[in-house]
Amino acid sequence: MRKLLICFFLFPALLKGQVPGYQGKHFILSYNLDVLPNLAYIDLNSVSTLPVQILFSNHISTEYVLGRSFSLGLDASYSQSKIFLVDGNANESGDSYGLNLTFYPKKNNTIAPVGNYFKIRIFTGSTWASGNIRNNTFDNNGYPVTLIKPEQTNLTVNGFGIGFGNNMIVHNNIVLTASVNLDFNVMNFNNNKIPTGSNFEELTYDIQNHLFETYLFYFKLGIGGLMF
Amino acid sequence: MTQSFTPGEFQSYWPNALKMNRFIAYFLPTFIAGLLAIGTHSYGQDFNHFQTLRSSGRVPEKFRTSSLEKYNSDIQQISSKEKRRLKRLKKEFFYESAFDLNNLLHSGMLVFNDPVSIYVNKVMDTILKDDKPLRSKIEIYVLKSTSFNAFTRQNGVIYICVGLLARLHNESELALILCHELTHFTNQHSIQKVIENDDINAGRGVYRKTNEDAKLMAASMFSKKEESEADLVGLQRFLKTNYDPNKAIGEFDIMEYPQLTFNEVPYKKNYLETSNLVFPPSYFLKKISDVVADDDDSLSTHPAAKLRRAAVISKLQGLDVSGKKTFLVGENDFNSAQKICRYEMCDIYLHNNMFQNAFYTSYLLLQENPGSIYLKKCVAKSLYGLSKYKTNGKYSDIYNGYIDIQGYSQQVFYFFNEMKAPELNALAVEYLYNLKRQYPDDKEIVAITQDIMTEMVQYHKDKSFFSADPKPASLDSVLAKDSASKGNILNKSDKPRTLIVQKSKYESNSGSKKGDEQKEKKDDKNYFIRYAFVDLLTDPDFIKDYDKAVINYNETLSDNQYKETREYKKAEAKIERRLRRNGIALGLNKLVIVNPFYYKVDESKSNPVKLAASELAQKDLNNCIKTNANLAGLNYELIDMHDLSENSAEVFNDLSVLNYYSAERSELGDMHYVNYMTDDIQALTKKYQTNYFDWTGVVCYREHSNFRQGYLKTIFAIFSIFYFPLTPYALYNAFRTHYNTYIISNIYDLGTGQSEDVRVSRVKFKDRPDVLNSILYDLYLQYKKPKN
Repeated sequence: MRKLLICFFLFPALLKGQVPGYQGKHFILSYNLDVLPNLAYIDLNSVSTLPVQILFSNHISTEYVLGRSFSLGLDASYSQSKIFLVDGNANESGDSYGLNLTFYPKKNNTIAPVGNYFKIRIFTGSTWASGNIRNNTFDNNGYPVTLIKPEQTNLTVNGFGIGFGNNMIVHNNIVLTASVNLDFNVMNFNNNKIPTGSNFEELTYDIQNHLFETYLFYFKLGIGGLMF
Repeated sequence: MTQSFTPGEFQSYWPNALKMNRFIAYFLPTFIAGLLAIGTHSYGQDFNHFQTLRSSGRVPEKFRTSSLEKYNSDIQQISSKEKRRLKRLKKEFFYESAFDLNNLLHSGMLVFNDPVSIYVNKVMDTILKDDKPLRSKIEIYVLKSTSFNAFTRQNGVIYICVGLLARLHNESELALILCHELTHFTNQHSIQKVIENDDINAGRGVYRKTNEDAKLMAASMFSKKEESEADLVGLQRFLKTNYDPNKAIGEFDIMEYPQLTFNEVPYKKNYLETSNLVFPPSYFLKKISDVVADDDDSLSTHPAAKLRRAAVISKLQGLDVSGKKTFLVGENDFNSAQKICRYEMCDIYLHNNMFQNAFYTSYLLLQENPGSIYLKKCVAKSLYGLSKYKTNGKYSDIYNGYIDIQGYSQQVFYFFNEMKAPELNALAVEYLYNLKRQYPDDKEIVAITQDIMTEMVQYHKDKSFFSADPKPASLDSVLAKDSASKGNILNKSDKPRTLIVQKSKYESNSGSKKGDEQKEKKDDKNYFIRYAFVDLLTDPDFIKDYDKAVINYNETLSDNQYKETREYKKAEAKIERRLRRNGIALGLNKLVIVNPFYYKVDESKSNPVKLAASELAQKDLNNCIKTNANLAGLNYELIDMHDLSENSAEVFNDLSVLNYYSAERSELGDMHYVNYMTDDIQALTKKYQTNYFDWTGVVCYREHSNFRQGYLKTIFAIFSIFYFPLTPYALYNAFRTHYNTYIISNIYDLGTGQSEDVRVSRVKFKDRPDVLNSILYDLYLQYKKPKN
């Protein structure tokens, strides 16, 4: 990470080429809303996710234009989503930090940061899940009782992602962006505990896995400002 | 020959007219502009140093209003009670007409408040002295065209061609023409023609079940009917004036032979000859073809001139014309205006690359004014142009044969056609160098002479080819004998229309056949061109210039050879890569941005160019250019025909010169050519304190979906059914329209005449403001960046 940061700050100085940016402005600070369709259908005993759910993630990112057709950026995201289950619900929270390299294809003849782009992202992140689940047990009299039992687990992941999108600048300093992204997880570490076999733990573990272990396909809508 | 015309007709006319009618402007002293600006005028032209027509004074409102403003004003005429079809037709007509008019007004081909326009307006004042309301609706401008023509727009704008006034005999003829044009306006002929043509094309009413040929005939008939009406109604108006109608009908003589120039004088063989340089008699026709009147008007928009003359004469029978006058404004005024037009024609011909016509017109005028340096320069430029085009294998671009040429100018066409490229080149050098000796301080002559001498070296690297000894006495008889064997009597049936096969300059220079021929000629002591420089070869300056030209030529050759080497290509590729990565660095101290253009094109529409949207976008583009040039810190000046103020006559003149300059440059392609406006251009570079002028613009092109795109869209849509997250993108992809936006910038270094940088950025987006801003800012940054 340290090397990456060094590269990030030294790179502009190493560049000999003329970097026009957008009207001389190179730095963008933006807020993005990541819209993730919940693709995985989890079915564990009687506990399963409802079909077609959408999760949201808040994203703050920066981008610095380094060349006529590429830029480098950092981003941080935080998400808190409720996953609706047949027998309850789960709250999934997560954060991630990434480093982005964005290319504006020369064949389009646009100059960074305007126009279509192709993005490569490496990230590290962690996620927490907690929730309520109806657990079918019996009281002392033998009557069935539904217990609400909050549980949580933690997971750390590292991965990379690719994206394709378009930047549009309005009023000369507001940046609107829309993109389609695909993230891949390369390594994941469960920092807390291995599932003990309870329904809920297994469920949250599966949710986390589905979010980070396999892939994340999401749309990104963003608004930002050209700062300097 | 005068006519009204519809926008459609004019649209097809004016690009050619722009190409064909370019003008040159020289040395306008500021005092003339000042005098004209305060409402006085002077025809006191110094015809030795003729200054071409330039606008002055207050810029008329028509030049300052946008097409949309004109359109909105015009449609007020449409009555709400009119039928829907007529409303539609009129709206379409006004729409196209407004944009056509602005195109012409901004082309630089029209001039206002110049001596000729002032004179013509005075004649109109005389005609309409009792009809002030009508007079207030009429505006007359001079159109820089050599044709014998006048045009009337439906909104009261009349253009009088320079070629018309140059050919007329007197003021009465001009008055009759103006009366004719007034009728076109008062009877709204152009609109009537549009409505009638719509009926004809749709086969309505009497035109039902007519075939295409009959429709063509019907359209022609209707146009002729309007012209006849304009003649007769115009005549009625004319007869109310104090002009002599008997003197006016001479205009029909000119109409009958519009192919002839204003004066017919035989071209003398010895005009360009010296005591040593004598041309073979075979280069001259013994007899020129007969002059034939153009009487066939079957498909013409105008009736034949003789019919029109007869119709007018029949109305004049028995009329009392006592007290009527040929000139009311003044004979001197007419003569002065006409003389200006005749001199102006030389320039127009030169700008249209009609060098033979320019040569002959200058020749005619030199008979009256042999000391005019302006006319001598026109002759020199004609020879220079002819030689350049012939040497570069582009002679067919400027010559379509001499058979169809009528009048004495046919001799000139034949002569230049017969001359071989090296001969024409030597002749041009001989004429130009002598002119240079006469006017050593004239930078234009010096530049042209230098260029043509460099070209001569490719034919005759060794100056010993040219004889320093006088021409042998036997040469004349040899040339005469040679000519007699060839024969040069024009016979239409024997000699087909001559067309020159285009050859490159390399072919003409190094082709084996040509080389052999050249060798043969070189060995021939009787080759007449060997004696072209007998006088000049005694001049040490000429020897020095010749040697210098040889050195230049050798340097160019070695440069060209180096360019073929691998080392050079490698270095070029490296530079190219660096430019792609870093951009260029021109280090411009100042840039003048000229007439930014904007075209929005929709391929799917029958009228692909969206005129209204383009005009609006053009205004935004100007703001965009200003913003980005300021942000990039570029020292710039934006001059635009669309942005004229009341006091911008000088800017209008500058833009006219620049318009012609860019048109000339784009026609020349890669041919090195010293432009005809060297003096004007130098004045501009001095005025704007820079050599760099940028012609910039945007074209946004909306494409039709092609098969490949449709195919991919379908595949994508099917795929998205199985993988639903892709659905939004598939939908977007299915319905989105493909655009290409071209941002064009072409910088000329007016000092060298070379293009400094040509940029065409093709962006696969709609013309979004951010895309334009981004690219323009980058461009201006590169233009400003100091050279490494």
